[in-house]
Amino acid sequence: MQDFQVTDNVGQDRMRNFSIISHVDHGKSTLSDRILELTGAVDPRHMREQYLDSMDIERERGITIKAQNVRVKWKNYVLHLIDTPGHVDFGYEVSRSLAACEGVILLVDASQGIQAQTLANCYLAIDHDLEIVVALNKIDLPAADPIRCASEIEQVLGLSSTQILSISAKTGRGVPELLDAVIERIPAPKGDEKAPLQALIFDSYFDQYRGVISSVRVVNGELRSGSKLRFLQAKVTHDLEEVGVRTPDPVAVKKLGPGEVGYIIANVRDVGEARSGETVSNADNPALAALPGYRQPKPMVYCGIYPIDGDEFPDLREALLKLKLNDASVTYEPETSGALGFGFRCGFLGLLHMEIVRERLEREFNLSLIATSPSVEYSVTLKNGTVKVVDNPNDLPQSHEVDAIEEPLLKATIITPSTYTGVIMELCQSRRGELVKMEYLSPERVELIYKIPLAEVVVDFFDALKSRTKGYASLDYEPAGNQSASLVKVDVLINGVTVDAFSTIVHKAKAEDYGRKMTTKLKELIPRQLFDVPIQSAINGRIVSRETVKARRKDVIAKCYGGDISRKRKLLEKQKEGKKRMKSIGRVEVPQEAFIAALKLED
Amino acid sequence: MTFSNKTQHIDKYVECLKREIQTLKDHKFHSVYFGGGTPSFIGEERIMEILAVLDLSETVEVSVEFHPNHIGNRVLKNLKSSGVSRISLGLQSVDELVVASLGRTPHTKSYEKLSYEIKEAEFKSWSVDLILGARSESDLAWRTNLERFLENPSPHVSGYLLTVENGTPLYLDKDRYPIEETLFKRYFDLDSVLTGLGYEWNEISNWSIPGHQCIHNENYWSQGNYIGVGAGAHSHLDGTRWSNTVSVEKYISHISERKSAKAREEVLDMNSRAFEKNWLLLRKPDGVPLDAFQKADLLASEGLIEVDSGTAILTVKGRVLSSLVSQYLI
Ligand SMILES: Nc1nc2c(ncn2[C@@H]2O[C@H](COP(=O)(O)OP(=O)(O)OP(=O)(O)O)[C@@H](O)[C@H]2O)c(=O)[nH]1
Ligand SMILES: [Mg+2]
Repeated sequence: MQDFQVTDNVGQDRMRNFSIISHVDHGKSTLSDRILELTGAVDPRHMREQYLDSMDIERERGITIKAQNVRVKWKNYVLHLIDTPGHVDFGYEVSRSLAACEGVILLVDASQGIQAQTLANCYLAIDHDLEIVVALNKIDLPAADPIRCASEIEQVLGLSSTQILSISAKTGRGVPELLDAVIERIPAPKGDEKAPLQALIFDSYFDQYRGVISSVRVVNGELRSGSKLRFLQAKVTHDLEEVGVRTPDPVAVKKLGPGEVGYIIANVRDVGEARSGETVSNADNPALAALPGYRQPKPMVYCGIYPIDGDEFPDLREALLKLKLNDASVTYEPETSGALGFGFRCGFLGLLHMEIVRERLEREFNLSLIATSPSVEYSVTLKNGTVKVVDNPNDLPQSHEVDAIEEPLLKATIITPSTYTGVIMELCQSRRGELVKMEYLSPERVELIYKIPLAEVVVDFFDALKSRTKGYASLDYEPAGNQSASLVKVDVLINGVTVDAFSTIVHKAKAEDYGRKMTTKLKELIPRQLFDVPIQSAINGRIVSRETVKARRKDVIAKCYGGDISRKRKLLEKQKEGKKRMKSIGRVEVPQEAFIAALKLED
Repeated sequence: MTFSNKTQHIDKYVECLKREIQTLKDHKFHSVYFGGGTPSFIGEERIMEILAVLDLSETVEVSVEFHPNHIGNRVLKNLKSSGVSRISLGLQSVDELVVASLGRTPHTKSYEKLSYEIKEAEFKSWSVDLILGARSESDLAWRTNLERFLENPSPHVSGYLLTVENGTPLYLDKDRYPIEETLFKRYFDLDSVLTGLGYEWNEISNWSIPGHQCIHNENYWSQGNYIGVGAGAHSHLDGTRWSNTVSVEKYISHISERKSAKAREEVLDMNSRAFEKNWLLLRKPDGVPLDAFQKADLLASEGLIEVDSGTAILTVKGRVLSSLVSQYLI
């Protein structure tokens, strides 16, 4: 029965499309590795850990950032799996992937149990009406407690524990049974072959040589190589140059039928035309309606991104356009800063997301960038009754014009061993959080729900939470409206001049403390210059703290002994290289890291 | 020529040095320099042995660096007679207390006696190394010590700002680290006193009475060619820089097996070479063409360079901060 190729169209009955979802690090990519091995998709000689994490940043950080899809053959079936990211910032990636599936494997680390993104991602799957196959992972670990985990899942998610599988993605134990369960329980796709083509683009990226390459899920009809495609939302027509599937290497095929997932290359050069959520149809017989598509997620945090070298502004614009294709959740608008020149105010789904985007821009597009401190979006009511949305602290009107400022709130879900309840409550209180609900998941584990200002969470809340609970607590959050708060802008003056890029909006009660910490931190981060550099912080024009970066008085290295010139030259070249990554603010050279000093203030 | 300062295997080591020199038969040397602690360790007789295998027919300067405790009438005479033209005395300070506070071996002879002996031997030139900025040396002590030195001054003076290097006894004692302000002051002081006495600055840390420059060092600063012999020695030929292994054992075994002792080599590209040239030039009074700089205005307004008809020359302040200024070189 197995004499077919993975690329063959075996008919919808013999196809299964699913995503692997879980809390961060519960083993999705490792499970994908085992599936790739077990199904013979990847030659054992070419196998490496987290095979599908192909970006350098993913491999360096050991996390998945982009969902990846791959088509494999298991027994008599073609499986299409999507390995998704687990980090809270990339929930949008998960929800897009789910739109291409009929079911999910929900992995739960059996040594940790349900964590915050286990719940969040599971709810996403429920929202999409997907079949959920639950598997406890890492049962090879001595700390694994599958019985406790299963009962937790039964209680919290209402899924019967008899249906829960146990696997080790590391050793491969239980993986074949898991694939069998996928085939048994996840429904086959049920598209209409005869209907006009409707295929959903769920991801795209820009390839330097081939233009836009998009991942698609065919819902109805057929996607035939060589046909003319109509992009329903963009209202453009393109020739379908290549259609194929990832096995995981891309392989061109003649056509994709309903239920199939693959990629298309349609000579799209304008990256705006193949956005995620676009519906593709045939030009000669277009479908009447587009598929539901995606809701543009609303950014949580904003920051300014500027090229260190002002001449690279057009390159940055181009880079953002291309990156946005691959990461639709980024928003950007041009802005100017007195200190940094021309740049963009960008919106992100969280701080990690912000870091990753900046890093990708620098690496993939070879740019040197400065990111300013993150800010949330405030709603400012002026005395004259008008309401202004402020996502850049420098747009905050003068205090005498302001009637009220509202800040965004979050509903934060924290799951923790109950021993840490006390320290977490303290932390949340210090971040102006308000306890909404507290519930025991089991005698040892608690779910805490807080209402907490977003601004207090974006900066370093997650790190603080992790360090206070030895890494055991997990956090998930979603927007929960606005509240009015007493907020002020804290400015930083370098060498006597206010540098707009450093301005931040802070709660009044914390403003002075923040100002003091900022000047101390900046003193650490700004290298000594040729002259004394005063660093001050100010609230409404009143100086609240001051530090001085003392002038350099001598060189660290002076003599070149015995003709050893290379060593010193290399040192100098290194220092010069470092200098290139600094921004001149007036006469002062400020390193990149200084602009995000606000993220590094200790309590 | 440079030596590392391991005491073991002196005989073998000297044998190897001679052998390595033999491989350079085709070269005529303009200057020869025995540097580091090695000359003091191996003693003047070995130095004479080595000099004997060198072709000195076109050599205008032979320098030997010596620790004060190894200088004596006999040593100096022998060196002189075998062709040494210049003595470099690793004094650090005329003041015993300062020397001791740096964790160095105490001197067995006073500076007065040392300088007398060197002068008696009538070398073409001689030099003294001074260290600037020791914590134990008060402003007053510094003045007194400087005056004492200047009663019997050498025609060439090296003045080094004290740096704390990992692995030295000083490194472990933060209380003895130099204070920047003091370093700065000492350098200014030394420069102005020496200049007042007719010395010229040859390079950031070197001053001399005209005609007493160290020819060997001048060659380093002008990106010239040189060949280093011995463990850890550095060489440069037309943009290729290399160095020998720093391990004396490895050095001996390589040379004994008639292999090269080269451990590292770097061929400089055009940019690195140009940068290196300017950086080295900047250390000297000749200065660097102004257009080799970024932000020359800033450097000038901060008093780090002086501009004279299109050439930028370090000011005294600029010399103390030369690495910083070098970073503005294109
Ligand atoms: N002992 C053991 N370790 C495992 C198992 N599965 C995964 N791991 C380890 O858990 C860590 C995280 O695994 P990943 O596969 O990267 O987890 P992930 O869910 O893809 O992580 P994100 O994509 O960042 O959400 C890695 O160090 C894996 O080696 C398992 O079954 N047993
Ligand atoms: Mg992963």
